[in-house]
Amino acid sequence: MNLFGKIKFIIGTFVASSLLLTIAYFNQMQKLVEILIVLVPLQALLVLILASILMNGYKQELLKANTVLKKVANGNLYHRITHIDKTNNNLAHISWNINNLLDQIEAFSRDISSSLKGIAKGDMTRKMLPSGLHGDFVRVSNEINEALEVIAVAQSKDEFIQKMIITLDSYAKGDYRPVINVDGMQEDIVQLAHGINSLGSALNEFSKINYENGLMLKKGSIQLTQNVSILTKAANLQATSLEETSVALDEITKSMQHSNQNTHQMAQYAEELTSSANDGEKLANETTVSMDEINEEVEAINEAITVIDQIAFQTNILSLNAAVEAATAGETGKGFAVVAQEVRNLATRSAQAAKEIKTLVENATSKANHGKEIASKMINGYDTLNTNIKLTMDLLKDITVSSKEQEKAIVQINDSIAILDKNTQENAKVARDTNEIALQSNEISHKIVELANKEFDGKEELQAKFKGMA
Amino acid sequence: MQITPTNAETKLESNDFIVSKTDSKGKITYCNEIFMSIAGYKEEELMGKNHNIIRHPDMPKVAFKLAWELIQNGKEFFGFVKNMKKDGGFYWVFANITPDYDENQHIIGYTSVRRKPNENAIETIIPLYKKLLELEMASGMKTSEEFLSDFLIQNNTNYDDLIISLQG
Repeated sequence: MNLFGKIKFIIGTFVASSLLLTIAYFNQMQKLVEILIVLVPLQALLVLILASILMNGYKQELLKANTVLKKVANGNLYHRITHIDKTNNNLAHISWNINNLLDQIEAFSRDISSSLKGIAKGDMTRKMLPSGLHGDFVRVSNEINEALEVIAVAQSKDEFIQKMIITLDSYAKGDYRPVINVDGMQEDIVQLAHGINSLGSALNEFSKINYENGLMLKKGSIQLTQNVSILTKAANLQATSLEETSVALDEITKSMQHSNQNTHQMAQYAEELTSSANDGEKLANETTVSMDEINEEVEAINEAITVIDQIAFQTNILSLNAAVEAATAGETGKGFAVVAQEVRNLATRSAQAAKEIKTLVENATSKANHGKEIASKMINGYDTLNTNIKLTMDLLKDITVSSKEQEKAIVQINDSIAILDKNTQENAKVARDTNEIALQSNEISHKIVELANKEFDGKEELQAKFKGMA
Repeated sequence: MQITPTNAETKLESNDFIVSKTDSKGKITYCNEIFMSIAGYKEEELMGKNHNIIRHPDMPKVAFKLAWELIQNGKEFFGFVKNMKKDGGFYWVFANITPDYDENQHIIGYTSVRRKPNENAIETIIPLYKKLLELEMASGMKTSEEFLSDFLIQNNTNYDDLIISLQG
């Protein structure tokens, strides 16, 4: 049915409904029936006027729709038909259908715009929203989404490949820490990512070991240098004290030799002393014998003195007898009396002398006895002396034996010192050589640490472990 | 004229496609038939009115603030919105608001397309909106804005990704 046909149909319907309304009106207001019958042509005219008015409204609605469609046709999808006249049911339907179509087209168009803008910015979450759209719009939306999916996959792959390139670049610059996250990665490139990750992991591990070894070597070489320095100092100190020991030992040897000589001398002196003591003892014994002989002689002297004393007594008596005889002889005996007197005087003197001698002899005896006592004491003294000399000599013998042993020991000590000295010198040389090696390994360790100073996982832990080394 | 909200919910059909337009101030310049039939208004009741005529009191203000910030800057806004019908009932929509431009690329208005929201998304969004609204009532929109921002950071996402992933 063309537009004109529709209009006719609508007018017809309108006229029919107007008539029905008129009849209804007429039925309700019976008094006006006659008037109404008269006014039928007028009614018809009224209907025509009404139809004309309605036609005009109809025309206006169409013009409104046309204005909107014109703007839309110019690409301005924004416009809609509003204030739609609900009295024109069919026309209202047309208007709403136009609006609905515009809603679909505009939403569809804006969806495409937003999705493409998203993709251009790398945002793959903004897709077409087919929900609420109809028919072809849904189909095309879905097709666009499929295409967007393909673009998204390509974009995602490209991003993953960019990540791989960045990761490899980082490896090339010595930072082995980055790991490629393969979540959501496409199957055809995931193997490549795994390969790069394995490479990174191997480089990481290798660097870690290398760095750790370098640091360990560095630490070791520093310690070695320190220890070698201590060793060198110790060796030098040892050499000095060995020298001092050697000198002291020399002095000890000399003083021992000296005391050996002294001991020897002492032994000689002791022997001589023994001989002298023996001589002394012999002499003392001889003295005793001599004293005894003196005593014997004194006894003989005493006996002689007794004889002299007896002779002196008898002479005295004889002189007395002579004196008596002289007295009796008178004058003639006078001279004789003088002689007798003289004899008596001699006898008295003899007795006196004998008495004096006796006293002297007694003194001599006493002295001789005293001398004998002294000699006897001397003999005892010499005995003790001899015993002591023997003891001394025994001691000297012991000393000599131990001195010889000491001499032997000192010789051994000297030998040991010589060996020690040799060893010490060797030690010092070894220490110097070791120092050289330590310095070299220190240098090497520095180089290793420098070369291994890449970026890898666990580096900080190693740096903390080898504080001051890294 | 104050509408008292009720618990009567109207659920959108999967094919429902609510469209409305406003001028740059938010006054309604167009609404389609589904909008009118679901919201329960006639065209003349809506035309020229502010779009917040269908705003439900359960909605946190921060959602609209975010929407305005985006669309005024030429960006599109996605969001789950609880709208109020003329009779006080409510209906949930998944809204997409985009700016309308004139020939000189000036923003002259906004078009809002509302679709049937994902049921699970609504279950998730209800407690979040409730929390945001509580914060707004207690200490203003700044607090709810901060809460939303922290919530997104904690879940390692942004607003658009969260909403689009919830809708599915």
